[in-house]
Amino acid sequence: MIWRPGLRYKVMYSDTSQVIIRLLIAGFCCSCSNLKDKQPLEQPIPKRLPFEFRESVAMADLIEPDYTLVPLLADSANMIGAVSKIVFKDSLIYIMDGRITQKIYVYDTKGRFKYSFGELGSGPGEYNTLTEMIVTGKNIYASDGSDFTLLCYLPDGTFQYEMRLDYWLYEALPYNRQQLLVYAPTDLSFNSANEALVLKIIDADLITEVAGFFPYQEAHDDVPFRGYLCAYNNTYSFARPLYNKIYSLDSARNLYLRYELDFGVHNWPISVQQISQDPEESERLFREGGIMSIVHRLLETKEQMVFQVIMMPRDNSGADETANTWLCIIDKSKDKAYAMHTVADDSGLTMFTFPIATAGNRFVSVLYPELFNEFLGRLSKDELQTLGKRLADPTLIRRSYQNPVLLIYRFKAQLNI
Amino acid sequence: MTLTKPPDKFWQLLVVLLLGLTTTGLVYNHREKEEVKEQLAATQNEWQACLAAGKAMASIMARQWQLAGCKMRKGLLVRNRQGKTVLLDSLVEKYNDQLLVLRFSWRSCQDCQLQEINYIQQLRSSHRAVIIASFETFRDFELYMQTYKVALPAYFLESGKDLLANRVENSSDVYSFITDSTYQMTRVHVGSTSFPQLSQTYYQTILVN
Repeated sequence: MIWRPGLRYKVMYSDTSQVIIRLLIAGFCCSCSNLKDKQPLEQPIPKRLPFEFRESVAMADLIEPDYTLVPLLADSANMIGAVSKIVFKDSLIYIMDGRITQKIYVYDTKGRFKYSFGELGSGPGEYNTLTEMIVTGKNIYASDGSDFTLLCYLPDGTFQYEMRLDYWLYEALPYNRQQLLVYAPTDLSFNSANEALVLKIIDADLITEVAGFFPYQEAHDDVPFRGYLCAYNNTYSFARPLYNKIYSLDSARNLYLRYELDFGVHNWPISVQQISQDPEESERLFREGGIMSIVHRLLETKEQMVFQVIMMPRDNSGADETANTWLCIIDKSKDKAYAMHTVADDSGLTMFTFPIATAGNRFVSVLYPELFNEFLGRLSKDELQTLGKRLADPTLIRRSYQNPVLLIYRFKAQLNI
Repeated sequence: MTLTKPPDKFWQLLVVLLLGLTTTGLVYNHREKEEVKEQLAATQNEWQACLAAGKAMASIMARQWQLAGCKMRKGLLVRNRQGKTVLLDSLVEKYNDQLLVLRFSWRSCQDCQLQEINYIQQLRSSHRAVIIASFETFRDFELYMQTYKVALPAYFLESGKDLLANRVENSSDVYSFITDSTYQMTRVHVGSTSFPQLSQTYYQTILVN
C-alpha cells in the first residue's frame, strides 16, 4: 500500500514566508507519511474461491419471487436511451444515460419522472462526453471524458461549478465524507502512451489527492473501462480485472486483498490462468479484443457479491457478446462461488438481465422496452394483472412502455443451483 | 595605532546579513530550479502531445488503407427511421453511383459521430449522403437521431452485423466512403475529433467540389 501526498497549491507570500510555509508543509507531510507504516493490526487473509460452473440455471432457483418492477415514466422529451449507471439516494433514483442522450435523469422510487439535467456543449454546466456520475449526499458530479473536467451540480440539477482534473476519471464512488474513490490513469497528458491505472482517493472539493494505491507498474495491465468499483456498508471493493482479484478498502484507507478468484481450467476461449500469470500475454489478448473483461460490473449486498465475465473468441468480429457473457455470484457466508452462462425462465423470454446497481440489499437490472413489451404482449389479462401487483405503482399497469423498466430483486439467500 | 573591538551589534548585523544572503540565495536558486523544471515539463508535454497526434494520425491512415478497396455486403437488410425494412442494394441503386455513406456503431466515439454528421449537414449537397448506424436496439437508434436532430437519411443495421463483405469492420470506427453499383468502397475517410479540419475538407471535397 502506498501513500502519496499530493499537495499542489501555490502560496503567494514573500520569499521568507514561502520558505517557512513550505518547511511547515514538508513537516506536515513527513508526519503524515508516517501513517503509511500504520498497518491494521490484523490484515484479513484473502479467501481463495474456486468457481463452480453451470451452463444453465432456472430463474426461479436464482431469484426470490418478491421482486418489484419500476417502469420509468416520462414524456417524449425525456426518454432514456441506454442506462449506464443507476444510483439510489435519499428516496430518489439517479439514472445516467452516457451512451445515447448523455443526460442524468431523476425519478422517485415509484418511477415518476422528476427532472433531468446535463447537456452536450461547451457552456457552463455542459460537457462533451458524459462518462461518470457520482452522487454524494451533498452534490452530483458528472465527469466529462473528453476534457478532464468534473462538473458539480446540486441534487436538483442546478449547476454549481466545474473542476479541472489532470487525468481521465474512468470511475468513481463517494468515499467517506466529501471524498471520492477514483479509478483513473496516472498519466497527466490526454493522449499519452504511458498510461497506467491506479485507485486513489481525492478530496471532492479541492481535487487534491489524499491517497493512492497500486504501484504503477503493477496496474499497467488493468482495463480502462468502468464497473470495477462498488461499496457496501463502508467497505469499498475494487476488482482488478486481469488479475482475478478483488480488493477491499475500509473507511480508514486500509486496502487489503479480499478474494482470489480461481476459475480453474474452464474451457473459456482464453485461459484465465494464463492471463493472470502472464501480464504481457494478457495485455496482448486484451488489445486484440479476445478479453472484454474478466471481473466486471462488480456489485455487493449483505449476502452476495456479483460480477460479470465477458470472454470473446480471439477473432471477435461479429461475435455475440451476450453469448460470451457469464454471471458470477459469490455467496459471502459460505465462501462459495458460481459462474452461470444462461439464466432461463419458463416463458422462453427471460426478464432477467445482468444487475447494474444495488438498492439497499437488492439488485437492480434494466429491462428495455422492446424486450419487456414483447414479454407483456404474451401475458393474458389475468397474468398482466398479477404482474401489475409487482409494480412500484400498480395503477401504472400497461401493455407497453416507452422507457426502460427497473427490475429490483434479491438473489436467493440459499442458492439452489 | 590601536585596534578597537567591534561592537556586539556588528556581529549581530553580520549574522543577520549572512543569514539573509544565504536565504535569498537559497530561495533564488530554488525558484530558478522550479522555473527550469516547469519549462522542462512544458516541453515534455508538448513533445508528448506531438507524439500522440502523430500516433493518432498513423492509426487513422492505417485504418483508411485497411478499409479502402473493401466491398459492402450484398443483400443486407436495414431499417429506415420509420422502422420499415429495406434492402441496402436499393439505396445504392437509388443514388446512382453518388452515394456517400457515413458508418458508425454505438461503440464508437460519439463526439466523432456528431462531428461528422454536423459537417455533412452543413453542406447543401448533403442529400447524397446516408448514415448506416448500428445500435443495440432500434429504439436507441431512433432516440439518437431524435436527440441530435439528425436530418440525414439514416438506416439501422443490427448490432453485430457486418456492413462489409470481408471482416475488417471495427465497431470503434467512424468512417465515410463513396460507393457505387460495384459495392466497392472508395475515398475512405476515418473521422476523428483530433483532426476536425481533415473531416471538413473531406466532405467539402466529396460533396461540393
